[in-house]
Amino acid sequence: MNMDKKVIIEEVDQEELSNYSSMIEKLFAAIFKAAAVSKADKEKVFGKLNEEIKGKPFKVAIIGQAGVGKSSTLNSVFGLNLPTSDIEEGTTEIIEKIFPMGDGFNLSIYDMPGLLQSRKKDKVYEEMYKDILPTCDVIIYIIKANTRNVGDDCKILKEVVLPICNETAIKDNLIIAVNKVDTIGETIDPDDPELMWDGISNKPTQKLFDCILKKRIDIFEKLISENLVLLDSPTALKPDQVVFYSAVYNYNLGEFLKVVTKAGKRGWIWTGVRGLDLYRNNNK
Amino acid sequence: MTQSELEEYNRLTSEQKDFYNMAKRMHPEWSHRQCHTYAVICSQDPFGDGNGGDLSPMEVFRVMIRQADIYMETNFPNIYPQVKETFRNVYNYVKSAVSTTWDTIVNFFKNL
Repeated sequence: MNMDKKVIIEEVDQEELSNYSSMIEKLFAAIFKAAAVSKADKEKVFGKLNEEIKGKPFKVAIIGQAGVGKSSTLNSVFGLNLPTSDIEEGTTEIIEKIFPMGDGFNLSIYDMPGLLQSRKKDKVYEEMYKDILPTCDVIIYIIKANTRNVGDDCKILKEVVLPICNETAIKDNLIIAVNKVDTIGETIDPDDPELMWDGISNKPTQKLFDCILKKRIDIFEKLISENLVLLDSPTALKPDQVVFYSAVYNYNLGEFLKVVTKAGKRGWIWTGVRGLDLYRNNNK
Repeated sequence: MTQSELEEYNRLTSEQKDFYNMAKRMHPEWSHRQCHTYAVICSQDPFGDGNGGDLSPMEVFRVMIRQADIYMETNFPNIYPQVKETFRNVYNYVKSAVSTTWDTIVNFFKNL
């Protein structure tokens, strides 16, 4: 873009901008002013935006086997402060936790029970999944990066989660989140210091990074084999709905936030109201 | 391969063609769509520059603007034509500033 085109945005009244608290509202106010949108139209859009932000909570369902790091993911991505043992494994009920995020915006978290426990339990849980998942703005399925076998996760995704998402046209809301990339080296050689996390620079050593890249391809190979991830498919996830990260080391969380932003119809609402501020503050 | 699959294959870079052929050797049963996806994924840089694993907030902001643009187009088709060009200008401005610091956004709003 020609930088001079900024001039059209410079017309926005600073005082008017200060009436809007979130980045989304500021952005829309600036654009509407620059485009000389009528007061009536502005009110119409802001009315609906207000409804999106304050009228209903931003709903997140979190799914994963025991020990995948559900709490640490919620803490690092959504700025919560849950004890890591807060999410009870083997629970028979789904708990919705609402977190007021300020200015009337609420975050709602559904901790979904893990599947593949027993046939009887799974049947009950599947019904819960059918009830809850279609109401969620973002569905995060967490896989542990250091797992030797992603077969169980693929089975749950293929037989339960993705079919529900496809049947209810919310496939774009689903994210496969591969956590604990920092621990991949431990499964290769737990005594090799070059395969350990570099705590000083808070990033993987080069040797560990190479292992992370290889593991990423291995996991994708499995997801592709099961037709869970494919380009240009009406029923599979897109590759950019999969993110590799470490919640405990805040590693690659920007990519995670980007995936949330793109998720479904309302992912960007989270980013614009709270997520980007959180990410920016964590990176200061 | 069908004609359209062949065209898609030909659009791959030479590196991606190598990955595609490797996928076909490892998994002869895979469809073109599977091999194509594998080739594209293998050629991506998933962690930004180097191994830092850090994405510029500007990059996230840019994606957010794009989604806001889609939201306007979907929910307010009658108003959208008025703001379409401005959305594009803001998007391009932020895209051009992706490599700079967060201050760019702060200044962007301050200078409105």
